Amino acid sequence: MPSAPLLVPGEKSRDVSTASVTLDAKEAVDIAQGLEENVFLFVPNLIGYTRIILAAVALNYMPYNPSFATVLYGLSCLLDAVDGHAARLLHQTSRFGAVLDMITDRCTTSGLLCYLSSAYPSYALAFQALIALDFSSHYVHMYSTLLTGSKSHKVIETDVSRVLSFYYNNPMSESWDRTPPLTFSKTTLFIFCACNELFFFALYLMKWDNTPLNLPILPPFDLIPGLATWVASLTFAKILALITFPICFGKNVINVVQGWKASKILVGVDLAERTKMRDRERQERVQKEVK
Amino acid sequence: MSTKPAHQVVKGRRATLSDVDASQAHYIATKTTDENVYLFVPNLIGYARVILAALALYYMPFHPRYCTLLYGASTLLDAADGYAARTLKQASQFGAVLDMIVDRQDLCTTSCLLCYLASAYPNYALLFQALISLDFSSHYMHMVSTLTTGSRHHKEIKEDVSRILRWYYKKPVLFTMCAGNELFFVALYLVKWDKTPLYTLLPYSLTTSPFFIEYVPRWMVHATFAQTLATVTLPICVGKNIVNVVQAWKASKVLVGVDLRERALAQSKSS
Repeated sequence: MPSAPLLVPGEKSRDVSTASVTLDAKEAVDIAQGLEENVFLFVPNLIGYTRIILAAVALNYMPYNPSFATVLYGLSCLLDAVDGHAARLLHQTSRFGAVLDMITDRCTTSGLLCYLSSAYPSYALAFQALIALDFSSHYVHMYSTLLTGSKSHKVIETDVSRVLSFYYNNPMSESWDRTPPLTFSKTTLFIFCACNELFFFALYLMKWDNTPLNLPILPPFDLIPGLATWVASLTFAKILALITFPICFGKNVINVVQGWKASKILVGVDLAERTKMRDRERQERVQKEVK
Repeated sequence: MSTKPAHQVVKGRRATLSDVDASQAHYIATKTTDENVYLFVPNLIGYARVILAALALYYMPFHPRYCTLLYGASTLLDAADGYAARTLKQASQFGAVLDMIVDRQDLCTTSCLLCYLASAYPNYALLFQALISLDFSSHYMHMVSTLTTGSRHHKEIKEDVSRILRWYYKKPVLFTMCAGNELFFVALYLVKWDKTPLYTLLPYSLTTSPFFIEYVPRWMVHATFAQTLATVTLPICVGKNIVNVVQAWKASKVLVGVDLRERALAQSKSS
């Protein structure tokens, strides 16, 4: 009896529970080489490869051609939304695709953060820390999910949904009894995660965009000294950065929470195994004494 | 089937499926008070390594001595925590993952060093970014494929998945490859600071002798320690990254195999 539900074709495979089939690595490789269907050539995976190429070219242009960089990076991110839909429509969901998706996301973000650490040298350590946090929180989350064969094997985006719902629906918030409980649609979540990357991209654009928008300021705010000139000097990139900063901050806080939860799960597994081990040793000792 | 107790398993602990599910594990971790895995000695050493590595990164742009010392200390502790885990019988899943994240050759520390190198050598920035991506991708894919197929030990290559990988995971080979790879990047960092040609260490009488001046090539005369180290470790770095590619390739084949089997099963169920 399989411990996890079989993957139904068409189901969006962010499902990364342990395999419902018992296979070891060698068998799996043999199968991959023998059968006629080529998962590597599934459409969503082809889209994945394209994303990688687009992101690499974007990173190449980043130091000197912001227009190309923006267009290519933007395309790469848009395709991120497309490949999920393609997988569902064409019944081509796969574990390999889910892993490819995760890897592409992490690597494109780290490439951008890497560039930013050379563009803003005084904040290099902060960007390095963000790379480290990004890698480690997703790694430990996936590890704990696979290890425990979680039925609630949700990828971080859906966990983001739960955390957001929790904070929004918290009875302590003033608006609680007036608003209906909120669940977040996939689109909202996608935008939330996209804004995280948008913040970093805005930081990149800030180095190039020097066009103040000359925004007017409304009374009574014009009484605050210096505010009017500051608002007028804001460029599009700066505004984008200011708007997306709280989302980026929130997303990284959630990453920390995820990482913490996942490590707790690992610790729980450890404690359970150690208890079992001690019981077994005790039994063996007792049996030896009996003999 | 191995009957070794868990605490005698070597570092890089077995990654079999656990007996408890996530919520049970979470509950156990919250309620257990007599044993604290977070305070196991090898894990404490792990935290110390994080702090040392972070300090090393802080000093990297302006104090190569402190940076090298701290980075070296972090690396030495890497050997210590495995030893501690074995002797104190405190091997744990949490410790193994912490090790993977903090370890000099894995996820975070190397990525941050490469990140720094990308700003120190802007013409090669894309190459360093690619190395970061390759490093993470191969480890991540390997982890997912290992746990998905329930392999007992992520460093134990069963059967003949790949001859290259089996050779790679032999202890001396693994150590040399990882250390050499890391040393190459450290050498690249030091090249920016070390301006002392090695010939200055040789006796004056030798370096001014006609034989020396005529036969020893200029580039060898002016080579610094850092440059020499980088040249020597370059092939190891290349080799290690080739292995990373092989590892990622094999891991993706494993995943694809699982996919195909599951699809076949699903199809036979529906037909």
